[in-house]
Order: sequence, then C-alpha cells, then structure tokens
Amino acid sequence: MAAQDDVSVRAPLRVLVVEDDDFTRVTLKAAIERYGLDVVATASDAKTAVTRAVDAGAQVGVFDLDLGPGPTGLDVAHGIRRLIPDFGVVLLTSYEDPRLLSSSLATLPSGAAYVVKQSLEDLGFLIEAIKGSRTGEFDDGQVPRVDLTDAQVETLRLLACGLTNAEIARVRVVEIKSVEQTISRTAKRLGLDGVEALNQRVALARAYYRLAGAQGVVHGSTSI
Amino acid sequence: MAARTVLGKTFRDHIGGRWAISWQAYALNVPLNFLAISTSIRVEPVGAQWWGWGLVAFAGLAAIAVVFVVASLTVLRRRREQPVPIWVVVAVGALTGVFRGGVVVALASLLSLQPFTVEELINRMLAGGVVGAAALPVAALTLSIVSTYRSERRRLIDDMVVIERERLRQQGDIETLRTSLVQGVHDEVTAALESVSGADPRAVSEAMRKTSHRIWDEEREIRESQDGRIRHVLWTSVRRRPLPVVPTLVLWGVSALGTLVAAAGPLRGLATLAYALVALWLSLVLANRWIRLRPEQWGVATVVMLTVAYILISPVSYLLFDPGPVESALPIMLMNAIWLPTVVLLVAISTGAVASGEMVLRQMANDVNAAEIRGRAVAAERDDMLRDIAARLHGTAHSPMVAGTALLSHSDDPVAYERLVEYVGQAVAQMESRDRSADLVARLRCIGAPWDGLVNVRVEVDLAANAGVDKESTRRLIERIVEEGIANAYRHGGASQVVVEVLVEGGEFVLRVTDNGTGPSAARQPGLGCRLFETASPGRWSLTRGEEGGAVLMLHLPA
Repeated sequence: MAAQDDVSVRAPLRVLVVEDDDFTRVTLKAAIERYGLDVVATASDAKTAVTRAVDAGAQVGVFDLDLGPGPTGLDVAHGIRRLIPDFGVVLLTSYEDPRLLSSSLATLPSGAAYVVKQSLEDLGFLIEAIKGSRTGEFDDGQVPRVDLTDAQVETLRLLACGLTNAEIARVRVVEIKSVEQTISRTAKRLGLDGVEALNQRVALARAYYRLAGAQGVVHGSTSI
Repeated sequence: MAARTVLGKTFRDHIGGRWAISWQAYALNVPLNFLAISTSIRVEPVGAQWWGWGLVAFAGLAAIAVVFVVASLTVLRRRREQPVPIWVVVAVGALTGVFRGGVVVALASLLSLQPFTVEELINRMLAGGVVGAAALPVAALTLSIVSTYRSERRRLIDDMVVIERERLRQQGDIETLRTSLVQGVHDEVTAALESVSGADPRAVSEAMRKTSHRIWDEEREIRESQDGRIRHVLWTSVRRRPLPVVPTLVLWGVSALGTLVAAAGPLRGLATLAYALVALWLSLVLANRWIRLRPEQWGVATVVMLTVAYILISPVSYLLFDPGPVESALPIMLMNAIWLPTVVLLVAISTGAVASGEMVLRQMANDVNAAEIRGRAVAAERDDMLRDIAARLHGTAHSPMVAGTALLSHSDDPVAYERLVEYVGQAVAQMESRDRSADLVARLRCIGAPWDGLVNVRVEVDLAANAGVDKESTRRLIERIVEEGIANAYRHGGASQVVVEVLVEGGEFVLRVTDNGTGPSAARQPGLGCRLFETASPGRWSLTRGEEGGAVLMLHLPA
C-alpha cells in the first residue's frame, strides 16, 4: 500500500489530450511532455477519447471545448467522469465565455479548470492547471464570464452567425423590438455604442469573434 | 355490423362524398333535358314557337343548375370532408327533377306554347323527381368508383415506388446510376468547355453555370397518362359478368315511368311501361344465358341485347300502343336510344365494382407491373440526382473552379487548357459522393455518430418519411431538432441510449426522441431547445416521462 502510494506520487501524471485540430493536438502533446507529464493518449472525437482514457488509465484530460458538430469537450469530460470519478478536467479553449459557443452547454464538472488560450502567456500555467485539477485545487464554477446576460450572449452569437433581427427574434421567440433593445444594450456593454466609423452590426460581430478567440461557431445552434 | 365497403369506402362515402354532385353529373342531364323537352310537346309548334321551346329547354337546364349550385353551397358544401347521408343526395336529385319539371311546364304555358293543366304539372314534376332521385345517387356512385380506382392505383404505384427506391438503394444500383450520370455530366461539361476560348475564368465559369442550369431545368420524363389502364381495369370489372337484371329494370323503369305517363296518359302509359319492362327483362335474361355459356362473347351479347331491347321497347311498342303520328313518338324513341345504354352501362359499372371490388384491386396490383414501378423509381432517383449534380456543378462554377482557372488565365498555352479540363474533371468526379443529399436516415445517423462513446443513438425512419421529406428546409429542421434532442438527453438526463424515430402519420411527420436518462425535470428552465420545438411545432410538441423512465420528446411537423 505504502509502495503504491510512493509510485503514484513519483510517477508523472497520465494525461489525455482531446483536441480536434491536428496541429494543436500534436503541439500540445509535445509541450505537455516537455514539462515532464506523460501524455498517454490523444483523441479528436468522443468515442476515441472515452475508450483511450479508460484503456490508457489517464488521470487528467485536457479538452478543447469546441470539437465540431456533436458533443463538446465538456460533454466528453462528463462522460469520462462517469467512468473515472476522480478524473481531472482542464478545458483549454479560445472562448472567453463558454456561453459564446452554445447556450445549452452542460455545467463544468466539479474541480475542473477553464483555461482561455488567449490568456495563456506561459505554458507553465497550463501545467499548473493540469496538476491542480487532480488535487481539487479549483472550486466549482470557476468559469470566466463576459459582462453580458445570457440573452445578450445568445443574441450576439446569432448576430455574428449572420442572422437578421427578425430571424433572431424567431429563434429566440421574442419580439423584434426586444432584439433591437438587446443589441443596443450589448453594444453599450461592450463599449461599441459610440463607434461611428464602423457599422454597429459589424462591430458586434467582430467583438463576438474576438471573445470567441476568432473561432466562433459555424455549426450548432445557428439557424432554424 | 360494419357498413359494407366498395374499394375501401362505404356507400355513403361514395355517394355522399365529393361526387355527390359534379359537373359530370350535370353533363349527363344535358341530352336528357333536351329529349325530355321534346317529349313534352303535345301541340305542334308553329313559327316562333320553336324558339319558345328552345327557351324552355334552356330554362330546364338552368333550373337543374340552380338546384345543383344551391345544394353544393348548402347541404353538400362540406361533403368532401364529411360525406352526407345517401338520402340527402336522393333528395337533392328528386328536388332537381321536381323543380325542373315545374319550371318547364310553367314556362311553356307562360309563353303560350301549350295550355296549362295541373295534371301535366304533377306528371312532369313527379317524373322528374323519380328520375332525379334514382339517377343522381347512381351517377355519384359510378363517378366515385371510377375516381377511386384512379386514386387507388396512384397510391398503389406511389407505395411501390417508395419500396422500389429503397430496394435499389440497398442493392447499390443507385450508386451505379449516379456514376453513369456523373460520367454523362462530365462529358457535357467537357464539351461545353471545348467551345470556350482560352482559359478566361469568367467564360469558364459562365459555361459551367449554363451547363448546370440546363441540367437542372432539363425536361423530365412526363408521367404517362393512366386513363388507358383505368379503362382497362373498369372493363375487367364489367366484362364476362352477367348483366345486372333487377337494378337495370328498376332504374330504367322509374325513369321511364314519368315520361310514358306524361306522354300517353296513365292507362296507356302504364301498359306501355309493363310491356317495356317485360321486353327488357326478357332481353337481359337471354343475354345473360348467352354470357354464362360463352363469357368471351360478352361484348357481342351486350350489343345484341341492347339492340333487341331497344327495338322491342321503342318501335314495336309504338306500333302496339301508340295510335298517334310517328313524329310525336320520335322524341321518345330518340331519348331511349341514349338512355337505355346509359342505364345499362351505369348499372353494370357500379354493380360490377360493388361485386368485384376486391378482385379488381387485386387485378390492379397485378396490372401495375414491375417494369413500370422500376422505371418510375429509377426516374425519380435520376431526377433527384441530376438536380443534386447540377447544384454542385453550379457551386463548383463559382468557387474552386474559378480559383483554378484564375491560375491559368491569360494563357493560351494548350497544356494549361488541358490542365483546366482535367481540373474540371476532378471537380465533377467528386460529385459521386452523395453526402450532401444523402437521405434522411443517413443524415440523422451522421448527427448521431459524433456522440458515439457517450450516447448510443439509434435512428429509425419509416420509408414514407424518408421519401416524403423533399424540402431541404424540413430536412434541416428535423436535423436541428434531433441535434438538440440528443444533446438534451445527454446533458440534462445523463442518457446513454437515444432512439430517434421519424414517421408519417395522418399526412404529417411525427418526430420522437426517446432516451433512458433521468427523465424531464420540472425544475429546469426552458432553454433554446424548448423555444426551437415551440417554433417548429407550435403547441404540438411534448416532453414527457417514458413508460420505462427516461424522457420522450415528441413533435408533429407539417409534411
């Protein structure tokens, strides 16, 4: 028993990397390994992630939030948590607020770390997050939030997807007037109300893509 | 006890439904009206009186039209949705005859064509009423049966085409067809490009665009007319069978009663009628003996029967019973020459169909031959594919194609041109994959596939639904709902199994997403999903707890 504990303390953490972008996945694996952790498996889809996490005995997963159509990284993390209850979860994403991806996301698993790619100045911070997610260092609900209401985020996302006010009203089942109001309030919150040189709609779409790490959603809840 | 049905419909549905009243039934009245007018003339018209009688004849037609229009706007207005009882149609028929009789007699005396008598009025109204009461339901039944044959056959073909398309797809024949179509399109595009000079990207783009439009608009094979086959099927329901005796005697008898009594008075009229009925009965019975002995001679037997019956009923009965001049009897003789075969035909078709409805349906199923079904299925697939290929070609013309040609622009180099043609060839060849227009089952499976490992998604789409989703917007809507349904089942219910079903029920799509999760929770705030469901199926969607736990999401979407 004591010997086993000894091994687990000394042995490097066994990490799973789930990322749909090939280049990012490869570089992330190399970077994590340089810090002395053991990347035991990589995956770009839910099925491979779940199978490999179990087979390779991974202890922590680094998940990209947006895995394309279908389940998000968060969904995959929840799926692995069901099989491995003490599995550490780190979400590495370009979305400054998960609501920017979708309004119907699952909540973050307890103890999970949410790391925004743009704010990652030093890879050491990611490594700390990976280690911390195992030790329960993070409290629940540590998710960055932009200073916007749910309705404003959703409206902004739909606007950036190219929907007209009427279409947004239809999707959100509200009056067009209310959409107009939400848009002007969102612009105000984001400090875009005084921008005269730029079309306000374009400014808002640019703001969305900035907050989403210039990624944004091309799939998912965009239109009806 | 269930009401007796003919071709799957009750008598009430046939007689009291869409065909209770129709322009075809009205058209039947036109020659009868003119002939009946000619039998009403008791005083030889002179000079302008001929015009007067012409007016009376048109007034008779107008009277029938008035009753038809009024009935179809009142009692028969909702007959298509809710068939009326048979007695209503009988009453409308009777009213038509009574009203027409009254108008004709009144107008004839008003125009001083012949003196008015109450007896004449009652006679004409009664005769018209009886004929109308008998003829309108029989006509409705016959027309409805003919129309049902037609729609049944169409339905039968549509069903079989759906099955055949599915079979073709499973056998992989469709892929072969697509490959050959793509080859054809490739040749066409190459030919179009050969006429374009040099490698000007705009000219190439334009040539591709025009080719894609031409393929899209190509005249599709026109569905051949069904009438020949319908006639064939009706013919089999009548042919080789004995002619119906009692219904023919009844319909002809009641229709002749009024005319004979009105023309010859009660005593002579009834005697003539009794003689005529015996003559008709005898002809029918003899003809039926002939048909039973030699069914293949049905046609000859029927024609001989009609000729003999007509000679006995019209010229012979004139010689026997009518002392008047031959001119006064001619109208009745002429009328009978049309009415007798009409009655025999109407009665034979309707009783034939009543007696052999099931047999005829079976016959029809055999008649819808496999080659035709296969031809139609292939034509439908071909149509869909060509449109898909045209749409892709159109897309190609405006994106990578133009980029490719831009590289080669301003170059008259023949090698560059060959590379361009090769490039187009590759672009067109890529159209062989059919992901974008894949059928609903495949598309829904694509949505479920990324969830593999978290949720096991099973997709079940019935054949009719798969073939019925022809609008891209409907397909996209179903996909959106399924995406949302799967995500909700996993995220909120923790489900590991989801069954997606799409069926067609009562002309609309029913979409059901069943899971094995924790079931719906009242505490949860309605999210975007609920709003999507409400927009797609206002007031007609539900999220309930399944019988074995889990949640059941159900939506009705208009087809």
